Amino acid sequence: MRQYDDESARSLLGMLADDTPPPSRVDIGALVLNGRRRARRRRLVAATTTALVTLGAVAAVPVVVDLANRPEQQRSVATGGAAQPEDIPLEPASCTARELPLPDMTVRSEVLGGDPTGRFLVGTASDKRGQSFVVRWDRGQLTTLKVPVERPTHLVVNSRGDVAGDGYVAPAEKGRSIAWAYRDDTFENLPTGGGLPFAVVGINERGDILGTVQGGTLVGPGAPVASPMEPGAPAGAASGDVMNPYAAPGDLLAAKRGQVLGRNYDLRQVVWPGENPDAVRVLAAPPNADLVTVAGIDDDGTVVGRSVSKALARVGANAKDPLLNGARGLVWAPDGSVRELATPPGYGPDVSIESIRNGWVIGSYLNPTEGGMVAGRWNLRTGEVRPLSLKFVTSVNRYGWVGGYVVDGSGRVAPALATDSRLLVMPLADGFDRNTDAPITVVISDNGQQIGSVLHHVGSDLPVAFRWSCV
Amino acid sequence: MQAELEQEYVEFVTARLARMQRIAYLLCGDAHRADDLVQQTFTTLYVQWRRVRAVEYPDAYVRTMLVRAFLSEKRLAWSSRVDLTDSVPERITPEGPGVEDRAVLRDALSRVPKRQRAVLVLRFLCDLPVDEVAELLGCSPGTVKSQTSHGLAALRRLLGAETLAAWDPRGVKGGRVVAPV
Repeated sequence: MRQYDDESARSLLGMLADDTPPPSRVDIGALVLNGRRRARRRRLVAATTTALVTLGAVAAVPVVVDLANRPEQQRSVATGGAAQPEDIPLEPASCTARELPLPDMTVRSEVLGGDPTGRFLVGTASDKRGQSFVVRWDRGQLTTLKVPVERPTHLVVNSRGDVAGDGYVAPAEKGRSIAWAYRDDTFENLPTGGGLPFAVVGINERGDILGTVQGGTLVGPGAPVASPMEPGAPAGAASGDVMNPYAAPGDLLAAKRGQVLGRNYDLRQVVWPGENPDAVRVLAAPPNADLVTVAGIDDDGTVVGRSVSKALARVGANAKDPLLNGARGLVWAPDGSVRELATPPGYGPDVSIESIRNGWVIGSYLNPTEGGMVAGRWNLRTGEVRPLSLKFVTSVNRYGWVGGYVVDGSGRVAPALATDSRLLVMPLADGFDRNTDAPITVVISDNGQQIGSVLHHVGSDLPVAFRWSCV
Repeated sequence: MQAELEQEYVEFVTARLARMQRIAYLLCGDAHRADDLVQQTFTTLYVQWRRVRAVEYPDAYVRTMLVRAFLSEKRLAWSSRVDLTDSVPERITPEGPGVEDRAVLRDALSRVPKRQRAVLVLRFLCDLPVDEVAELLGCSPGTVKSQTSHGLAALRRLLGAETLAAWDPRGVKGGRVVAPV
C-alpha cells in the first residue's frame, strides 16, 4: 500500500517537477536592510527588557510606551533647512558590479550623472569612428537620447528623467558648443543671450539647471557687463580675450594653462529655472574674482562653486595644484547672496568645490603642511567640515555620503563610496580592472544603493560604464 | 553585523534564493505568498546568521526554517508585510503543453491540508528521504508515511476521478525526472 502510494504520488506530482515559478520579487538588498532593522529592534528590546528588570514593574509601562514610539533609526537629519527630521537609510556594506548595456559598436563609455533616486544614470557612448551618443539608463535599461549633441563634458539628470548638458552641435568638428535640456522627450537649447555655453553642471529636483556662459548679454547683479556680441562671433572678442570656441566645454583652465590669471574671462554663472528656462538668472560674482565657476545646485536653489583670484594667490604656495592657488569655495544662497566657505583650523585657504545636495557640500581644501588638497565635506546647517578618506570627490547624497575615488598602490583609480563610518571601494567585475587615469565621475543615489561610474577592460585604457548595486 | 559576515550572508542567500523560492512556490501554490515566505525566512536568517553559518548543514537548516514558517503561516502578519522591491517584474505568460494541467494540479495541491502538502512536496518534488522529512517536520518516519497516504488521497479527491482518468492515458504516470531542490 505504502509502496503504491509512493509510486502513485511520484507519478502524479512529477507533473510539477519542471514547473517554473514566476520571477521572484525578492530583492537581496532589501532583505539585508530588513534584517538589519530586525536585528537592531531585537537589541533594542533586549536593552529595554534589562531596563525593565532594573526599574521594576511601576516603570514598565512608560518604558514600553517610549519604545513603541521610538524612531527606528538612531540618527536623523533636518531636511532642506526645515525642522522635520527624517530616517536615514542604513549604510551599505557590500556592492555588486554590473556592466551597463550600450549601443552596438560602442568602444568607449562612461557615466557622467545620476539622479537622487538611483533610477536614472546618464553618460556617453562612443563608437570606433569617434561618434558619441548621449545615453540614459532607466533602472539599467538603455535609451539613446535623440539629441544633436556630441562630446558633452557634463551630463546631469534628475528623478523625473530630465537631462541637461553641454557639448557641441553635431558634427563635432564644425559645431559650436551648446547648453541644452531634454525634458519630456523633447530637446531644447538653453538660452545664453548670445554668449558661448561653457559648461552645464547641475540640475535639481525642481528642474533648475546650472551652468556657465561666456560673454553675451545676460546680466545679473555684480556680473560683468560686456559689449553686445555679434552673432557667431567668438566669445570674449569684445574684450580682446579671444577664446577657442571649440575647446572642450568646462576645460577653460586647461585651455588657459600657461596664461596669467587675472584676465577677464567674462564668465557668467547662470540658472535656467525649471518652470521657465527663458527667465535666466545670473548669479552675482564676488568682487575681485578673476575666474568663477559653479559646481552644483541644491533642491532649494542654493548654488556652490569656486572663485580664483590672482590677488589671493601666494607665491610658491600650493605647488601641487597651482591652478587652485587663490581659489575659494563659494555658496550662493537662494536669495542670491554669496559667501565663502571656511576651512578647518590649520588648513586652507585654498578651496575647491565639486557638488552639493541637501546642504552637504563636497570639495577639497589645502593641507599646507604636506601640500596638496584634502577631500572634505561641509555641512551648511552646522558649519562643520570634515576630511574624507577619498582622493577626489564627485557627488554627495541626501545624507552626506560621498561618491568619489581612491588611488591604489599601483596608481589605479577605483570608484568608492564614503559613508559616515566606512569606505567602500567598488569591486571589480570579471575581465575588468581599475581605471588607469583620472578624473572619473562617481555618482551615488540617496539611499546609497546605486553607484554609477566606470571600469576598464583588462588590457585596455578605454572606460566602460558600470553601475554597482549595494546592500 | 560585520561587513564580512554580511557579505557571506549575501553570497549564501544569492546562491539559494531560486531554490528556496521554488520550494515556497510549491508549498504555497502562489508566487506572491511564496515571495513573502522567502522574505520572512531570509530576514530571520540574517538575524541568526552568525549562528546558522556554523551549523553542519546550513542548507537543511534554512529549508527547515522555510517549511516551518510555511506551517505556522497563519501567525504571520501578512497585512503588515513590507514590500521589498520597487518594481514588480512582468508575469510570465504560461506557454507550452500541460500548462492547464499543471495549474489544475497546483490548485488541488494548494488545498491539501498544509502538513500533508509539505510531506508531498518535500518527498516527491524536493526528493527528500522519509527520515529527513521526519526530522524536518519534527515527527516520526511513520507519521511521514501516513501523512503521505492521507495527502495523496486528499489530492486525488480534490482532482476528481474524471481528471485523473483523463490524465492517465496521456502518460502522467510515466516516469519523470524530479528536479533536485
